[in-house]
Amino acid sequence: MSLLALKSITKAYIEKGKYLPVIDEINLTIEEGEFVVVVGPSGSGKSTVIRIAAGLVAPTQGTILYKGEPISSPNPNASIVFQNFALLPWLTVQENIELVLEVRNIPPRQRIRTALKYVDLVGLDSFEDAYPRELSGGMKQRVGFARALAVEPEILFMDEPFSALDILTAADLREEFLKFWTSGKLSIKSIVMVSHNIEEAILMSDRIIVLSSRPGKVVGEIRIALPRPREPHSKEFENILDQVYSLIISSHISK
Amino acid sequence: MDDEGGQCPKAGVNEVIGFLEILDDESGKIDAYKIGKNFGHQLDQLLDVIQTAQIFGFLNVSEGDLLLTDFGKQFVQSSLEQRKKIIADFIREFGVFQLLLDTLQEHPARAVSIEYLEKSLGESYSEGEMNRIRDVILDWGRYAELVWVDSDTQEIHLEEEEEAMPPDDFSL
Repeated sequence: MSLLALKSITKAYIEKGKYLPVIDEINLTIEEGEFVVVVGPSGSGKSTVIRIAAGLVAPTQGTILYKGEPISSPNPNASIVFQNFALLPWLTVQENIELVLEVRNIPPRQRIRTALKYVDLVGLDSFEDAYPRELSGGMKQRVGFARALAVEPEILFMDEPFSALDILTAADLREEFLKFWTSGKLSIKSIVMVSHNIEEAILMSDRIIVLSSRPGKVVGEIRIALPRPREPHSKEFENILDQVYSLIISSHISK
Repeated sequence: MDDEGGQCPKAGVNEVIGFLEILDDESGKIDAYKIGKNFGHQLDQLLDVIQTAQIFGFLNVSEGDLLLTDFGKQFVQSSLEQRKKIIADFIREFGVFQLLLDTLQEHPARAVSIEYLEKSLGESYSEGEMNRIRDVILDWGRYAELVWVDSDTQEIHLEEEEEAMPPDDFSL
């Protein structure tokens, strides 16, 4: 059985009296062990897909199945890493992480232990008492990762987690995250990430889903069987780049 | 693919011309993924540039290949003055420029506030998009020497030379 399934998901808003579908009839299945990246330009509803998949936003139509069961509220087995970190500025690193544990009714002592364990894991040892404003963008996102991992989710959602960082910081964090993922030490069974960076999508995922824009529909998918770490300058990598670009260009650009 | 209100460039002048020059260096044909590297593989930027080059008739797309058209080749190989003229002739036909230029002609001072342009765009675009499209429109308008912008007063002005010779241009 698949871990997560989106069945004919549509999300629409009414604006100035017009019916505006953001995503339209999205079908997506995530298997256990899979790292899937959803790629599309702005206006393709990528972030909406993730929020609906995590149960944070209700779809206008369609069903979300988690391990075969329909969900209609935030999925307790999921957590999200946000593009803009979403840290509370008046809480320290440790407190930011403890907060999500508190919400999940973890007793105080265990909260502290777990928070510190994940602070260490993401390389922020000795920064647990720092406030977000004292951290660089890369460090803030490390806290974002620590917070998402600390609840030990089965499925991790990531909404362009590297796009607010400078190129080198993004590359480092990406590489580190992939090491965690491939080491099998995390509780996570599957990952769904959205990105508008094609190279990043190929570097990280097992499967790329390409969305059209306005409204977002699935226009195709490409499996990536290359071993990790992947070498962006290799012939195999370039072949996949070519396939992904061809799919995107042919679905977004009229001839 | 057209937005309401007709065609409108989505990427800036320098991005598009830089892109066409790369394409010309590659003998007029390149795999999209190779050009994607020049954009750091950021999808939005690349698609905007491709769509804009296409609106001007500079580019054809076939599967994953980007092909410079004969007109595109002619454009890239033109002098700066010729390029400006080609662009001016083109964008004058776009709805958004027509409206702007007509309004400027009607106005005694041959100037309107940037806010006026924003308002007329606001009906077709969301705020974030509107800001970007406004900048892109002014970028092309200035390149084509159809308008100039006074950043102190936040006003868009009609270029004086254009007043002297409009009829010929429309006959091309």
